[in-house]
Amino acid sequence: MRRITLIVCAAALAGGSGCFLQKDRTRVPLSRAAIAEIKPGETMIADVARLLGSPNEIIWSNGVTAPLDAGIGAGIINTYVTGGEELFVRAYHYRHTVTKTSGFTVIVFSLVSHDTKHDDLFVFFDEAGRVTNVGASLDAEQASYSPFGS
Amino acid sequence: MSAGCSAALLRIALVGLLPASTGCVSFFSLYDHGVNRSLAYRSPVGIRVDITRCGTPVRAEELAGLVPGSSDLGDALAALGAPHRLRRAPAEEALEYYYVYDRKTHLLVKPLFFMTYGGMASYNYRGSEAGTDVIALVFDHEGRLLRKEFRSAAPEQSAGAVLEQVFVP
Repeated sequence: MRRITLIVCAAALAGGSGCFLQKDRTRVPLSRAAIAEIKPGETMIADVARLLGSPNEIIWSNGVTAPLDAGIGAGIINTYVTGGEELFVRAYHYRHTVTKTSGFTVIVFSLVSHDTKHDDLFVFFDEAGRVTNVGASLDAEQASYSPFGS
Repeated sequence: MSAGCSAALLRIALVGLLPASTGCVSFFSLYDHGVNRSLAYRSPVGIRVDITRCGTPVRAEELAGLVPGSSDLGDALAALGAPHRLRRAPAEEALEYYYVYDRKTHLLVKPLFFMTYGGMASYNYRGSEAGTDVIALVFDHEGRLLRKEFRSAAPEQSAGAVLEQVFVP
């Protein structure tokens, strides 16, 4: 009887327990070396596109944001006329996202953790397409499977 | 362990643990993916805790060094790094930069009761705590800082627990 009890309890524990790890990424990590090559006052918009590729979104001079569309604003053409107003590319926004998810179940208790961190890079331009400011936060690698932490 | 004790433990394991574990696993896997939510509701018992974090904690202490009227975009980027969002201020010729950190904890407790007429009743207890820290900076089109703001939605301001009933015939 004792042996059967142990077998049943072990089977319940083994069959009712499980865990998983999952990692999701969007786009590629931003290269610190490439970011270091961007010099405010010197680097042009085409150089930024060459170093880092297409941005996730473009912020135009009137504040409107738009995804990359047909090469406009992609370092080839950085101005756009709409309603008689000439707009220029004010900024590129690059983003790389890492989401780490972990979970475990023990009989009836389940704990699931989701942690999302980003690499964000904003490169700002003047009307001539010259870089004026660069702001980077490279935090994507800090994403953690642990349910505890920041 | 005596034979009587073993027999009692075996009985508990057979009628409780095995259905509970299978139910929990089905709940755990199905509820998440929306494959068959009604089937997930039929799982007998479960306690589930979801912890979600998005972004990194905002550096509110760096905000004191930014002075509206004298600081510019370069100062803000050097102090706080890249913002997470940027949008046009609807009422003025300015751009708003947001640094955002979200966190949320969700609890679901799902006991099951067998009814005397043969059905089952499940009382789902849901509770959640959510907090959001936001730094908002407003710049004019020349890159001068117009306003700065730090908002923190504390967990105690979040929605409380909800008890819901699900009857499965």
